[in-house]
Amino acid sequence: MFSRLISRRRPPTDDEIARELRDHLELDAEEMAERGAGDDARFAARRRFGNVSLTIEATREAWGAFRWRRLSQDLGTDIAYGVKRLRHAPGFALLTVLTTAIGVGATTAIFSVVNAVVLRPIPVPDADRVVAFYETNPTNNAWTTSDPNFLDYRERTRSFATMAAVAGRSAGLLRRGADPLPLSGLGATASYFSLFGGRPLIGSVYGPNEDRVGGDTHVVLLSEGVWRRVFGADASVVEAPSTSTACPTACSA
Amino acid sequence: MTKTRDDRIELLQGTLDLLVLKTLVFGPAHGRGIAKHIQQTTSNVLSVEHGSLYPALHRLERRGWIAGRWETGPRINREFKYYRLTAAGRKQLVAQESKWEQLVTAIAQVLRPATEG
Repeated sequence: MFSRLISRRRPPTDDEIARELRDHLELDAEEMAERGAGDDARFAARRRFGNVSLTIEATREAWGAFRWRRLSQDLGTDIAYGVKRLRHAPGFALLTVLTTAIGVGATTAIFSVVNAVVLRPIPVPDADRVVAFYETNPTNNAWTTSDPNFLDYRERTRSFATMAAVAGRSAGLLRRGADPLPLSGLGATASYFSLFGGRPLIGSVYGPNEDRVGGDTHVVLLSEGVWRRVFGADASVVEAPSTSTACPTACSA
Repeated sequence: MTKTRDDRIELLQGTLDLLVLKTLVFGPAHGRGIAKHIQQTTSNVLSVEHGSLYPALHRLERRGWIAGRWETGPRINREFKYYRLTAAGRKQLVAQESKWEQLVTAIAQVLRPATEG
């Protein structure tokens, strides 16, 4: 039984094949030394021996598919052994399963976030051509760009097809007979809408002449959430003058 | 007495297996021993390069006709991979030997038809 186990055919490792060849080479060299051959003869013998790594490769291939059959057998045995061992220690098995589950769960959760935030392109046309840029102050911190600077950039750019600027503009909503409502919002240039391709559900966005500094038209775009919660999805809010501290007077939603 | 390279004859495809099996009839041997034996018995006409010898040995081992094992040599205190003939290998040798003889006879008949009948 034991001898059968030892003599069972199994593919040799590359090391074993290399060792066999090295033995061969060494015996050749020893024989040469005994015969008193010079260095030249040894070198010639070495050269005649040819490419050892090529022989190792060819010898390994002699086992061909046998190697793979052996590998799959080993895999089956390993799995059976693993299951057996885990049955002997159910507590450890449970701990292992839980650890793996938590690990996989955490990894999946992190990947979901990374995928949504970093990997997946933003849902706008030509997302690979959109860049965000900002100025930096002397200590290399991101810094806001002033309105005149932005206008200069937009006027003189040769690298960008369109430029849009946004700035945080919180507003308070005041309506007759209701509590004031603080809203968070953004001020955006008209080009923002052509750049990102958004369209309001009702009404229209403002044009290039309505976003100018000192212009006399004031337009707000309400989020769908505010339109539904505060205005009850009333379509008549469009064009209706409303009152807020930030003084926009007409609105689109 | 060493023959020059030009006197050497390339082994026919498939004959190396037969020669290896036959060599192992005389007892276990390592790769170089087998090569040496073939070379010496043929007065250096057949020289077995390792590039064909070791793939052949491992092919034979895979088929179960020879079995290799690392063991210490009889005269030298060092481990070598020794090959020995298995029972299946012995059967294979008999079959291949008779096939070879048929081939030799057949080729001879073509080459020297006059000597026959």
